[in-house]
Amino acid sequence: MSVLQTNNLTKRFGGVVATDAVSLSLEQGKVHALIGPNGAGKTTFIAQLAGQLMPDAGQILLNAKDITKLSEPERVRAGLTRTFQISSLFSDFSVLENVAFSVQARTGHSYRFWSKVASNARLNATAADLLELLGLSEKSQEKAAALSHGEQRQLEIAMALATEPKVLMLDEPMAGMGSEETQRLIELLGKLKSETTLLLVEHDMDAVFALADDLSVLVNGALIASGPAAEVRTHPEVISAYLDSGT
Amino acid sequence: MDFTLVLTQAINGLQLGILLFLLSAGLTLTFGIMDLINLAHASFYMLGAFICAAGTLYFDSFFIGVAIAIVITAVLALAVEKLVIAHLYVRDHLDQLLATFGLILIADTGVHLIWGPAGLAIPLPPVLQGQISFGELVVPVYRLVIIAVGLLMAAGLYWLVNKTRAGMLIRAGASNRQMLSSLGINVQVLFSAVFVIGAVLAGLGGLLIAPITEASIGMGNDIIITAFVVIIIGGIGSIKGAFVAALIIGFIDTFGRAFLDTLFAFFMSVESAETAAPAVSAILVYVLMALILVWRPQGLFPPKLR
Amino acid sequence: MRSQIFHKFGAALLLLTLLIVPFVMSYFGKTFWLDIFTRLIILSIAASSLSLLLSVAGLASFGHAAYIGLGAYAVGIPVYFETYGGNDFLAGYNGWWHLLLAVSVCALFALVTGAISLRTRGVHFIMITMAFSQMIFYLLVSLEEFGGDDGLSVDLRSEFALLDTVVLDIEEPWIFYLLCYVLLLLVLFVISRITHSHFGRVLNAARQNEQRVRALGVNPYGYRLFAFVLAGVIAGLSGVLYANYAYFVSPGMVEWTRSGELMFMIILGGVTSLFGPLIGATCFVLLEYFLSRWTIFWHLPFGLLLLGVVLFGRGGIVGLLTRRRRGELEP
Repeated sequence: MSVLQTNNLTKRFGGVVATDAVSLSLEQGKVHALIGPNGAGKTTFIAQLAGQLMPDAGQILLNAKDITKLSEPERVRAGLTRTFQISSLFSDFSVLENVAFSVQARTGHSYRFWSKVASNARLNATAADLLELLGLSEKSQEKAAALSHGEQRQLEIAMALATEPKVLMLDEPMAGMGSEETQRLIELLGKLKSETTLLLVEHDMDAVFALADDLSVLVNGALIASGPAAEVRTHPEVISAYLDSGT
Repeated sequence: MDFTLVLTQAINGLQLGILLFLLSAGLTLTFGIMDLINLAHASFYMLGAFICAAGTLYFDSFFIGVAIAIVITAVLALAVEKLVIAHLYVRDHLDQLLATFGLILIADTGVHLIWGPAGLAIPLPPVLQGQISFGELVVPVYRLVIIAVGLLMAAGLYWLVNKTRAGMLIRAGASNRQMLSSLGINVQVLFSAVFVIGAVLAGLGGLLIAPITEASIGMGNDIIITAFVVIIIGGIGSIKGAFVAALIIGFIDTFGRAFLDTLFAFFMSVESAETAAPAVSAILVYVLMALILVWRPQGLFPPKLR
Repeated sequence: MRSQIFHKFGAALLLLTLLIVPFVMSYFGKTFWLDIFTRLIILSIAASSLSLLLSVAGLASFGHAAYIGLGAYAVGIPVYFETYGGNDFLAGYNGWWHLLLAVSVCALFALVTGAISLRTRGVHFIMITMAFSQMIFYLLVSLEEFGGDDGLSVDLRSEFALLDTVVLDIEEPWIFYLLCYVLLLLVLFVISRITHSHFGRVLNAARQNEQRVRALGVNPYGYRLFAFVLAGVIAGLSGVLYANYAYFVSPGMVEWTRSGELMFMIILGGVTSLFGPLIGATCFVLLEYFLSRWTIFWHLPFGLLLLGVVLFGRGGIVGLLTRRRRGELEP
């Protein structure tokens, strides 16, 4: 069953077609990888799904419901969350606070003016669980800005998971990670797929082939192939287009 | 309504608009290119007026006063840019605002120290004192001079920004700052030049209005906020926007003050019209700003790229 | 931890000083110190309300003096009508009525102007808040009936009565001072609670990284608007006090330079501390007093100081003290 679907999604910047009538479908509980050379329009595509950019034409359906017109926060509340290619954290907050705030964001409104949020046990416990899952428990009291690059990438994912997404879009989660960290993350993402559907934009081909059930290839804004990973990776057009660009 | 009166007010509105443009042009340029928000722009407006007044009185010639004022304002602007402003380009807008607020306090007190607390009047030479009549319409020559000089400056700026190499750099800088340094442009020189041009235009505005209102301490501090409204409406960073918005505000403000009571008298008693009209005309410009912002939060002509 | 304890100790000491000094001075016959300290406390309340926006939410509102003015006229206008007749529904010395008026007018003004200005960011926001406060300035100037430029004098202070018995006779200077002082404590307490609440964390997060807040499913707009209204209402309260303090209201209270001074107080004291605005206002008022006694050109050293603090003194006085304490001085 399709959880997230786009129909002819199109975005132009001036004369450049950044997203060219892309129709993509994500199946429930699967990892769908989106690959393509640099500048193929992957990040622009994600930005439209997330609601940071409005498409010029086309539709986005989440669980068969049209969300094309929804704002970014509304989409997150509907169950569609993204992570960022460059870690986007709250640098003055501690690691725990970063995640606790993300949990807080999911649990209804925050027009609560009196009780101390730092001593909200429920938020902190959920946040601590997530940090445990990502292997960040020891760092929970440190400032987010003090984390290493790889740890920041993990925190980024912990925060996205805190929103309990139905579909999680990961924009190059492995970028800049060491091989050991990458391996841990691959394992973790493999475990996640029973709970959530993943859209994975990634350059690390080992990670892609280790995780992806389905594979789509984006070149110059257009989808040149989409389907089960095993089939797509042998597609001749994919091999030539993707390997020629040297990425 | 008397047609001659309408025309007279139209000329007043045009004059106010021109004055606002002279003040806004520098504000919007420095913001567009250097990402600098400069309250002390108001001080150059005042300094232009005071230096011109002093020069006029000393040399007994308005024209020499104007020349001296322009030169000294430029020199002062350059000094301020080097000493203070250059350190502010990398700071956030709040720091810039507060530091230039400090400059205003310094400039206001400096003028007080030099010329005393009272204002200075500028006597106009006979050649600028007369009036010209067009049928029933009688217009002071000097008002026409202000309008002519302002339009000339607007045309000059248009030429500078759109037709010269320097202008190309300015436009490039407004949309992409990094490009400038990669083109091998001496950014500091460009910044100083833009700042000085803006300050001189503000000084020119001050010295042009001073023969009508006289030069007074803090004379720029109120009109600078109206100039802010102009560049908000026009789109911060856009010269064209500043020009259009300055004229819109000049006309609306002038006509509001002149005719709102008459207009209100159509649907309320003359007495309440006379009470309500000044209040409404006082806030008219700001209500306009609010409406335009609801419609277009970035103003009428937002610069394309940032 | 040590710097936190030092911070709390310093704050307690300052609050104690503010409570004791004016009374000691009055005892020795220098009653005008009570006057100066009253002004200081009132300005601290206004600056603290602004710091909720600036320091917690990161919203540099440059038109905060408008609320002081609106709050002050909420005293001035009813008193005017009481004295000269007309508009009986508004007229009166009743302090509760003044408060109600100030709170509702400020809340409404903040709601409308905030709804518009919060759609913008950065320098747009600064300029638009500035422009809206200038609108109030010109509006007050245009109201000839209420003295226009010259403002109104308030012949008697607001009357706080319950069941026809005056419970707080603020005509008595030291009672008025204590009232202002207690209100300051209350305001600081409320701001502190809000800063650390669920609500405050949203503001704080949106200040650091708005993009991320949205990507977590929260639109900061409503939270910011609420904070904007709250800060406006507290500043309006300080305006009610100011009108009573000065026996006078005028458009001059709303000039943008007043907003600039409030901002200066916060930067001078230090933006990161709850007590920063209080420290800043204290220094501001005392400096103003001593400098203006020394020379009529006191704005000159004031301007230089402002320039110096912005260019070199990051973190304000609190920053200076805590850095010294930890033995770190900036290069």
